[in-house]
Amino acid sequence: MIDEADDWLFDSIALYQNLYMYDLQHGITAMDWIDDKNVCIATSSGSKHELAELHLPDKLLKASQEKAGLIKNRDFHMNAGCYCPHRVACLKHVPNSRTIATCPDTEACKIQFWKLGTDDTDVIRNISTVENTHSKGSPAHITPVPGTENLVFGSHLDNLCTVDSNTGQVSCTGCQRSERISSMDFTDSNTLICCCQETGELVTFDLREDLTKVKQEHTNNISLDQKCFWTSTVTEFGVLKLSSTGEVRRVEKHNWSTDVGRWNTELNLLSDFSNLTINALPRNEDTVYISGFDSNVYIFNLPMLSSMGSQTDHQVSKPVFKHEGHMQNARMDTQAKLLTTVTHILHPLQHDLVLSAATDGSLHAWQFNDCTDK
Amino acid sequence: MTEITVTPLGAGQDVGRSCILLSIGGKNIMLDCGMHMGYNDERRFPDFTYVTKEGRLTQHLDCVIISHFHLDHCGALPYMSEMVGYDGPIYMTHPTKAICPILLEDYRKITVERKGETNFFTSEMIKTCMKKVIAVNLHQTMQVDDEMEIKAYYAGHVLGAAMFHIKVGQQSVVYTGDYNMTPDRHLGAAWIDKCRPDLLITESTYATTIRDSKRCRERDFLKKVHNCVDKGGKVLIPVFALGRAQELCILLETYWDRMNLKVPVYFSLGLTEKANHYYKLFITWTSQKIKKTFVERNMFEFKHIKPFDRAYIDNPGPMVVFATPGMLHAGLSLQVFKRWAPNEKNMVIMPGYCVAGTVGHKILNGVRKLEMENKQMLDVKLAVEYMSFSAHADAKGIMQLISQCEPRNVLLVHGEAVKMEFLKTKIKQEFSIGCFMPANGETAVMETKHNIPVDISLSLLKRESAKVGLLPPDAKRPRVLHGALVMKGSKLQLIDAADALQDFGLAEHQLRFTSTLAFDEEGPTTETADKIYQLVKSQLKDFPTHYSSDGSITISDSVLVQVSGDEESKSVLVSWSYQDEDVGSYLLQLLKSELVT
Repeated sequence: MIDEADDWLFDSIALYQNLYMYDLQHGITAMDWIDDKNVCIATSSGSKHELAELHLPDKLLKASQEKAGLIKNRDFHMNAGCYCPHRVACLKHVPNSRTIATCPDTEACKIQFWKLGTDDTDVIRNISTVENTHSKGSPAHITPVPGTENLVFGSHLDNLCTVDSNTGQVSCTGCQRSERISSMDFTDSNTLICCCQETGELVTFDLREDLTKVKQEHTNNISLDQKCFWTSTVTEFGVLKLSSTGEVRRVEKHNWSTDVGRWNTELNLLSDFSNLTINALPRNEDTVYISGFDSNVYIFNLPMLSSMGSQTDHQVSKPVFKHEGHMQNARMDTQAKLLTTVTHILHPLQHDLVLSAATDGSLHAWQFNDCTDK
Repeated sequence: MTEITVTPLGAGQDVGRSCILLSIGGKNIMLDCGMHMGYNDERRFPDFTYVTKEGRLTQHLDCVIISHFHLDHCGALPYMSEMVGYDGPIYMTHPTKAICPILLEDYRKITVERKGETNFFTSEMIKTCMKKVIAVNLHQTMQVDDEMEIKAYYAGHVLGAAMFHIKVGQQSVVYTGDYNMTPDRHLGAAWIDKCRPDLLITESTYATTIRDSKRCRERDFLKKVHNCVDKGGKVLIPVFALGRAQELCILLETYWDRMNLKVPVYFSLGLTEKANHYYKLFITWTSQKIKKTFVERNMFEFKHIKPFDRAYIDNPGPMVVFATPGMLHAGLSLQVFKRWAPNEKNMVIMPGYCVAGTVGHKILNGVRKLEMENKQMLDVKLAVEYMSFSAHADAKGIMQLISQCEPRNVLLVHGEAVKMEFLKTKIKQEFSIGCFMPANGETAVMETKHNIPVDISLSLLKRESAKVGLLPPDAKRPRVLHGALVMKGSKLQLIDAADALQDFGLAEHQLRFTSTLAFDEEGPTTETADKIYQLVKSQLKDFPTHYSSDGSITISDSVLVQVSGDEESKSVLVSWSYQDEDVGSYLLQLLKSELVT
């Protein structure tokens, strides 16, 4: 007799190149890569909140695949950890440093800096907290400024601040517009791009000038009655936007005026948009990873723009792969509707290696097998 | 306050062997007696000079407890009992008692007969040592002597692995050995009562790790086997008969069935005979799944997996073979390995630990040319895969066990030193308890509260309960009882003071405190008395208050307030008995602040 759980496990052998599943004490709320071997996670039990730096299992790292058969280590190792006062809404590593920045999930818009563990200690230390003087009752987003140790943080277009992670010196400005931001990132070393949560509009700023001046505005064409949530990710060639109604739109770097492609993924979300995440496979932006709609991570192959001719609207796209591991391995008492993927990130070097986390504390590391006939 | 002391002789900030000396309530207990597998000199055994520099250990130890059959927990037992000298009781579970001597003998053969080492215990010593063993059942309270009792709980690490609750008088300790909080195909999850020990000594080998799920390891195992046979290769799986062989066979059988595979799978006969025998004896120690399978059929009656014959070794085409022994040091598994090793299409999957000196240990360390008997060289071209199925608690599991048994202190053993500071902080903060991490040879001392049990007389209980109504008192909330503590025989009793006086023929004396407050206040004394009465009623709401016609006020049973004086100055007398000291003193302070200033 075959258990249902065994069924999925046996099928997974053909579906995944690698699959490692972990069960944390509490659910992950945010995570970011420190480097190609280490990841930083924030977890919360509701009443207690923690930060931890985890070392990836040797088995997962490509450099060691040659002798993978003899490698014993399949576990995440905790390099360092600490308690933090609030649930973490956003977590970013300051590149080329042992510092991370977090934004608490509170009404106060602020950024906290933490020093990761050293050879002497496995305790992460809080080094400073910088308040946003124009707090608007929502937690902030963070993005590092390329090539510097500065970060930009803020919750709305009119409270963006630049902060030096070493000195804590902050410069807060903001433009005339006041929309709530759902994501922000740099498209090059000076251009900051922010996605407006309710309209999906993209607003760019030039860091060489101050953040009061909007450089470019991209209007997202939506019907007046289309009320949904938008988030985005910056890719090598432009921006991919994702809506809570499951629509993916592409904007190209040198043509901000219009969307060059639209795809309907048939996913839809009615509430709690906070976990919506989209990532594109570097150097292959037609492959996008989407999570936050339910307990799965979806991979879509968007039809090549060249093959679409002049047609840009509403190409329906079904997923090429669906990571169902979070639900398939959930505890018996977990209700399907309540289990949601919180976030997923792609490995900085092995781009097809995904870390995905769900609300039940599960953390999965996986590479799907794109050679199989699914 | 009394102390519990713990000295790790082999675990504690060092992975490799477990041997911990525990002193509790005047008793000395050795928890596990493991061997360090990384050494081949005297360092492999714990340093017993910590217990005594000369003479036998029997005079210094009250008992030895072994948590499970792995050699890093029991490997030094014959050395300790027969070569150093210990004749006292050794406690372990029934499966551990059955399997432990087999492993000790296997290890002795490898060490003495193959590697030619001396100063090692003999087969006879193993037998003599095992005669000192007293086997225990799960949840059975075993009286070690008049004062000490032990109780075993399911640990889920290997067949027969147990955690032990040790109780001496009012003090108690739980020792976990290795344990696993997640059930798998083979074993259930560790479980313990909410026994609230003074100290929990827990393994912490994986305290700073997040363990990969067992199911993923099973998946990888199946994937490796399937890939190899798909390419026409042969797969050898050397197993320990009483380890996880059954679990892997059931897994492979299920997979073969599901995938409709026809490649032959075999197991060695020696394996099945031994395993069937022990599984019949110890079926209650396994998981629900194994119990169910075993009820339906014999442990090794499979549809796809058939008994192996040595003649099959050179059969053409792919096949899978489970063979003993697990470390490739002798027998069928070594014979098959020698034949299949030169072909790179083949594969060997090592599902467990191999001791130094064995072929298994060598190939796991990447050795590709092996010198066999008669100085013949063997080229190892087949793929070597390591697959550990060991079941240990990780950071989450440790926290789960702590919340299950609610100890007052935690001591971490079997881990690494420097990198556990955060775990220590976490345990202290989340459970508000002490956390210790001694190094080898270092003693951790825990102060414990020593409670003295006292019988309470029924009349006293009735009198006290009458004060708070007819409901029985809440057992979890401490309450103050006034009575006389008397010793009758060796027992302490708390009885009604009047009964005690009567018993001893003594007259009762009242101890009262009296104080007078003098102050200037105009008006009649009745006005002052009224004012005090109102104050008492508002500030001491929960106490019965009586205002007499003569102007005196009585609060509770014994507190008396009387006002005297003239139109300009007043004296207030406050008097209370010793039993009402709290309310009397409070009232005096209250009147001072309200009337005198």
